[in-house]
Amino acid sequence: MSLESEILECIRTDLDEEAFNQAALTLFNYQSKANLPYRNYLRSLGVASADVYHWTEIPALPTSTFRDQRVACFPPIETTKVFETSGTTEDHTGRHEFAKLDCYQKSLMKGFVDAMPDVSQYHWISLIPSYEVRPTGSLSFMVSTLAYHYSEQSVDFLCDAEFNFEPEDLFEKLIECSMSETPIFMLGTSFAFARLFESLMESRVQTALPPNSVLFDTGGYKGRHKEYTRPEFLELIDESLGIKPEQIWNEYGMTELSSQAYSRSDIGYHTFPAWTRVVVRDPATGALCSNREQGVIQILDLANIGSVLAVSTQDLGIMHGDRHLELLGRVDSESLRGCSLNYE
Amino acid sequence: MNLKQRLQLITDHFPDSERMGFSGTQELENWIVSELGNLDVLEGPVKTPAGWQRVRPVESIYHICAGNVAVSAETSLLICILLGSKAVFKLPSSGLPELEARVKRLPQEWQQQIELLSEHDPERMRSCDAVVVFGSDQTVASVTSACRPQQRVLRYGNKISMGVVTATGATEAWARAAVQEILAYQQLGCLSPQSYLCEDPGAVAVFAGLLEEAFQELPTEQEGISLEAKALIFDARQRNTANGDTVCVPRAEATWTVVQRRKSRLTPGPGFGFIEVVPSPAAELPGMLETWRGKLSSVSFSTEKITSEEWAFWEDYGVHRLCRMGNLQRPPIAWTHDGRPRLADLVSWTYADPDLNLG
Repeated sequence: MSLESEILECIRTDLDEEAFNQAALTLFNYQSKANLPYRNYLRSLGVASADVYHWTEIPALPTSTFRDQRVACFPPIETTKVFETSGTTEDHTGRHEFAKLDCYQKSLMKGFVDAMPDVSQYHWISLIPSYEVRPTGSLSFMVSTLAYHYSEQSVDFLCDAEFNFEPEDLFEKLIECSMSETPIFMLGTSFAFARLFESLMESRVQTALPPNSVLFDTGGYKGRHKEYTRPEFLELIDESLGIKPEQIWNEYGMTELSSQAYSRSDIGYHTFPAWTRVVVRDPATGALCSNREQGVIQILDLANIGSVLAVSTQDLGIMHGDRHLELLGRVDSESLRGCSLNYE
Repeated sequence: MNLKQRLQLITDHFPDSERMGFSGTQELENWIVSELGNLDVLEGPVKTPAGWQRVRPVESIYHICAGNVAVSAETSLLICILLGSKAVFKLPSSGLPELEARVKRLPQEWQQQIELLSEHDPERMRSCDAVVVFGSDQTVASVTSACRPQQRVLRYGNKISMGVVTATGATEAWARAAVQEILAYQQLGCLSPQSYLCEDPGAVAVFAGLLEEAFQELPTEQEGISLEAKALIFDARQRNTANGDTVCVPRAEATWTVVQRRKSRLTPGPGFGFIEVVPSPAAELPGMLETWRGKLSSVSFSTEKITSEEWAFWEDYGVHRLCRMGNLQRPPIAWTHDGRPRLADLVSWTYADPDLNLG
């Protein structure tokens, strides 16, 4: 059985701890040889793959490496898909390359279907551009994949490649939908929703979406909008669209991964799929944090076959049990540099 | 209160004058003269060969303070006293104990001239004659757009600084001087060096080693710094390691990190004593700096002399200040922050023709 078939099987079945460990070590062994930047990283750390016996010992590559180097286990000629991260001050983006998308698609589909309520019969309104409009966006790919392979109702993509939308068009759509009985599944980034709330307030448009409608927030302001606290955000959704916290979901994912975690807003913890693991480490020592201790989030994702399965994020979190992560937010390097701290 | 009294007030209430960039009243007077042309011009009309001149300082200044470096707000306070202007300070959410303590020590009549706000007040800001904003580019843009067109807005956005290790400058003395300027203000200010660029690539390992030795002598524990800051240090160390750079960390818990970069690239670090030593041969320097054009503040040199060609080179990339290594964090009071005069931008000039007699 090829490595890819093995991983696909892992995604299909509910892995127990031992099976996950075995699959992770197999993949780590492969990537420690096939992935040049990762191989070099392991050498710098003095870690040999033969010395690693448990998935918690697998060194995580920082996500920032995707901005600096080509993190792939295959030659460039085999690349069929590239997803790009958003730019930085240094004006270069991170790239996650794929030779095949089977695992990626399988992972995102199963992760969504397992975690989320059944929204296949809902009318979808997306404030995330479609894959056709933004072909390098992993989020766009995810939403388009779900829209085409999972949703059985109409899907409206209402924004351009830069996530901008015309408030008037959206209001019209929302008013039209509010008169229907079909619940809405509305997807967008936090900054898109923030813009929507403010546009609704400015225009004094009042609307309540049909009962059982679900809002799907993918997070992220990326400096494009004043950031609301989570309670403020939930209150604004309730006020402007009539959607309660138990109907609001948050997705936690990143371009450097192939799987996503989901959280219902009234619960607050993100749950990861069975083919992933998440740990939180003390940034001062690199040691694993105990339960309920704050630290840096590192994720192991078996679906990341062609790049690196263990990534170290720039996000902070707290573990509650083995699989539930309380996301505290992203460390913002801009906020600590220069004559510069955002006024709060 | 006349200028003389205000100068005395500053001398009395800024005993740490060296930290603020001046050594006594004379230096403050020189600053006024260098920016406004004449010491008496703040007190009344002054006759010059070109005519009568006087200046009127703005009556009120709204300051949006940076939370990372208190000294910028303290300097703003000093400027307000010097000009006799009222001041409103929007403090960061964590407060600015240094500024608050300094204000409390001022005489009552001056305390009444100063307001400290914990919440940003857009209306109060718009009511002031001038706005001084320290913050990210995004903050600066947002504040500017919220100001009245007639308001003066002095903007201080994101900038970085660096040091240059000349071909003969990789010495113990310069490394010790470098460590002083790295650690000042937790390396969080726009004058904090992020990298030391070695003109001779062969000197990278030497200078990095000297920095490590100099750091060893100083206490730099992570205790007391925020989780976010620790996470940034953690991430930066991992990133450099992944990029094949040599990362020297004495113990994981220590803040300081010395990185010997393999490639010629300028990357700002997380602060708290994280420094990169970068090979920077002359041929590669323009490419390195180009990405940061307009975002560079100051450069220190491991030499006591620079040529006018070198000055022009750095000026071309938007650098506003050059100094000896060790002095990056100690600009003289009269320096032009981000290339702008700090007093002249806060006054209005009135002029009377020379043939008009003043009664």
